[in-house]
Amino acid sequence: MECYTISLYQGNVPPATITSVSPSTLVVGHSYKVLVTGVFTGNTSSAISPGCDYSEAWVTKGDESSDPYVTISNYDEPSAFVSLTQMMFDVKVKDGASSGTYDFSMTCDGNCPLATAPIQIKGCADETITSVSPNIWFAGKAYKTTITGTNFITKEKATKLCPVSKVDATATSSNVSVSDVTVVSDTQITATIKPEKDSPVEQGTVTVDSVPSNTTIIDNEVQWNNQGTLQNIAGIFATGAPQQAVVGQPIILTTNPNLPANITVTDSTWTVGGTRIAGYKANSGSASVTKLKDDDLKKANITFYWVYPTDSTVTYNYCVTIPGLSADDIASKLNCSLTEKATFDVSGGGSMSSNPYNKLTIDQLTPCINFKVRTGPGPFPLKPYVVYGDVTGFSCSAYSGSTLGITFTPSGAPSGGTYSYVQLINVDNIASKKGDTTNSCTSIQGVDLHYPYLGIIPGTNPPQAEDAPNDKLTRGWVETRTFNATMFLMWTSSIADSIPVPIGYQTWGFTGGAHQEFLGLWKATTDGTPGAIGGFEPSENSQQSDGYTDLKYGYPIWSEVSVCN
Amino acid sequence: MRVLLGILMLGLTGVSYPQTSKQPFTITISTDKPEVKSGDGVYIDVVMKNTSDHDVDCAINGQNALDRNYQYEVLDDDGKALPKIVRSHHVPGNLFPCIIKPGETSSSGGLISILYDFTRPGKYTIQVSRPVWGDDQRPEKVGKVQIDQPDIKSNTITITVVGP
Repeated sequence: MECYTISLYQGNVPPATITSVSPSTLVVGHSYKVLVTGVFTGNTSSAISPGCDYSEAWVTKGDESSDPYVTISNYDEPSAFVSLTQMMFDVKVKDGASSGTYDFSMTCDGNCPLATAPIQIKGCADETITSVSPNIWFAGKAYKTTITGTNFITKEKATKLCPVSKVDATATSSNVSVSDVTVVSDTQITATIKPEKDSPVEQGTVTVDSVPSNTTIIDNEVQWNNQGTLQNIAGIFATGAPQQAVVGQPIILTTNPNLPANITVTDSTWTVGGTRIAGYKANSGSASVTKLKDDDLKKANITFYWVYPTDSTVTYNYCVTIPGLSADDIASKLNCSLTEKATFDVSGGGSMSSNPYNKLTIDQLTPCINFKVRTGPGPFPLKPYVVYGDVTGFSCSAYSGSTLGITFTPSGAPSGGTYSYVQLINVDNIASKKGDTTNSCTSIQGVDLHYPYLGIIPGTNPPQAEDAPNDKLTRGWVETRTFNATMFLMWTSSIADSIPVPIGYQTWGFTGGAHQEFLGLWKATTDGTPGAIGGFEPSENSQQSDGYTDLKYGYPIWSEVSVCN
Repeated sequence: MRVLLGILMLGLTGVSYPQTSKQPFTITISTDKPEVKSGDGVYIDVVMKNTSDHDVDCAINGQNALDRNYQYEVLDDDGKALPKIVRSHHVPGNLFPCIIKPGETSSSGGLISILYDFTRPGKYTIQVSRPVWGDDQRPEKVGKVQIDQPDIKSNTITITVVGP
């Protein structure tokens, strides 16, 4: 068909042209008022197509005569006329229209198009994402996330071809679930996003339909130093296998969150089950337990010691600053990691038995040190002592053949460690009386002579302890003594930097003395032995006292050595 | 004069272990608190090491918080020996047998301020000695030979006492 260049309007006029079509991009499922601007006629007639029997406007794609999905309803109505250079058409892009470049054409009396201009038909409008908040997620936590952008498709605007905007979240190694998606408006979507609990630290991606936006997934990384081997607590939790530890071993827990450079830990929180302490220091002058304080449990890395054998649980979590969280979110700890948990199987323990003597005896001891420089040969003069037990020989030698006053035997602790003892003097009153004169001495409570206890029986393995308190006698004086002490059994693991832990204790004592009878012969008297011998008391009950002296977490505590001033 | 001084020193310190013989043990002393306030207790640790090829006796004669099987010498700022504190009452005692295997050690010591008065501020030097009893301190021979036993001396340490 031959086409003529004529006006849409009557008369001989310049060729018709279309200079613009607005909007030039139409979306499927939507109706538009399309403003067409151009030169349609040089005539000033006001009626549409007065020079035509009829006029038309339509949209085509390719060689189609007209597209059935894109319709113009008012092309032949006066309402389309705006001015001599503008016309406003009611255009509807029906569902099913394909995307692409179309021609917007106008004609007169069925002749070839007088003017044509390209327009774009799109299935849906291009969505964009300008922000995702929060865009940092802890693995295992669900975040109500707000996605801001453009051209989101709400339920109300959704069509078959352009359904409601869909949200997805993905990561290379993590499963990330998305739920409760609500397209609030064409600029805002809310959704609940949750990376699975065991997700590693990695980058995640949020997409609205096909439009991506980067996010970050972070996770707990907690390690503990078991004799130089770093192990991941999260992994321990995952397998459920308890870690093996012993009492008194330093438990060193180190966090390694492996965070992106722009994220730092703001808070750490540990919980440690069982009886645990930060340290125990002891020497002959004093002993003290350092408590594991709340502040210690807020440090990134902690070191502590379990005192008693039990299954104990450690938990850890940490918090970071995540922009975009509400006060409620922070109150709900959405800025914090999940609480990781590890179980420790702490071994240790043991027991102690004692074998007390049943009386005081008068023993002849040969003091050595004061007789170092002798002027001649001959036996040393013997010195009488009243002794709890039966001890003879030299004060400067290992007195074989003696019967020790009380002996203590340990048992039951793990093999990888050593026993030791601590004895606290509870009561030790000595009085020497002659006529109306009394010289007395009351010892102050404290550790007996030395820490650790020195009275270890040679050749015993495990080491046994003994005590045979003595009191030198003076001719003509009556001697009395009231004695009460608590012997503690301690155990120290052979693992480096371990501290001693208390296993248990026994309180024991005697009351008695000595006086001279006919011909000056000494006679010992005894009272309260072995009745004063207490049973073995396990320290794991965390006693605060042995009945006489202060304890802490079952540990013997003293502030000085027991002396008689 | 030098001869007289030497004789006097011999009288003060006893007979030293012959240099030609290998001494059966060594003594090392130390303290956790080299500076104390006047009135605070002064503790020393005494470590006896068996340097012989046989067992060595290290029996402990604990009396009132100090092992009296060692001799303690304390000198003040002027190098003057401090007198021992004398008490009118009897004090509690413990006798502990002790044997050290070759190459091993045993710890003892105690509260030396129970025996010497450290209340006056100043510097005090402490040295510890122990006689070699019997046959080279063999446990079964201790006490058998008692005339002029040689001494083995420790290192010296200094304790500074400051005002309270």
